[in-house]
Amino acid sequence: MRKGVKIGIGVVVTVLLAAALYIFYTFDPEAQPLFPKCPFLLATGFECPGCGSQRAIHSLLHFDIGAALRYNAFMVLALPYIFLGIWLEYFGGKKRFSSIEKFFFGRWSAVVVLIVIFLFWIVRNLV
Amino acid sequence: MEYRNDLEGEGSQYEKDYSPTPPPPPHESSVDTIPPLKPNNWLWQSIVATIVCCLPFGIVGIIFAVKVDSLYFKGQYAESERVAQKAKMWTILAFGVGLIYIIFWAIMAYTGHFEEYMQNILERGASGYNF
Repeated sequence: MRKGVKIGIGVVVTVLLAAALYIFYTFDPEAQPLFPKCPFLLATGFECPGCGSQRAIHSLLHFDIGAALRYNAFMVLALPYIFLGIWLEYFGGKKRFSSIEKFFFGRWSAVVVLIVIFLFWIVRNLV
Repeated sequence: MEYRNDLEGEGSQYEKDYSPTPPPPPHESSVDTIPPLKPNNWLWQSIVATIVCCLPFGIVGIIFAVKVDSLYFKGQYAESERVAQKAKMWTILAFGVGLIYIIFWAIMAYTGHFEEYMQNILERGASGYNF
């Protein structure tokens, strides 16, 4: 039962992810008004740490890494870290390579991530 | 005979007679216990929420992730577990609010109000198609 639920959630997430990737590959968020805009940007006129992610994903799917970095460098650099987290948590990485988990998700990782996000947030609005 | 009385009603009567000071409950002796596993601090999930949903809730999730770790390494395991629940809650909240915002945007896009709404945004000076 519990295993069935887990598989069900996995299937739903995979389908949604595939649909999202297809949409982001096909449509250009720069040209289409259908993509949601950041409420923080609309409200304040400043970019938040996530602004540009949609355009960056579109660029990444077309292998334009330079453009992706210009749209949202933090997201592009965070992606490998996120994939590492997913692998450690859901695909058995935690059990086999606990030293990797200790290094990347250890004592100071959350602090470092927080500092990086705030620095990126400030710098991207200054430049 | 003396050691089996922890769980049984009859045994506690037996214990009252022969050992006047009952042993302390095991979870209070914190010195010798093995530390529990570090609770999940939902760090990478809250990073995803911050990037995708573009709302402060993801950052709140990361702040709680920091708290989970610092409390755990200070040895306050129960407190750390409690804060981990909060980290989870804020991360899920961030995803939920982001989802609601996307649905709201989709409804705006497919009803007639979208054009004037867009006009409104552009008049207020927000640039381009940002997220």
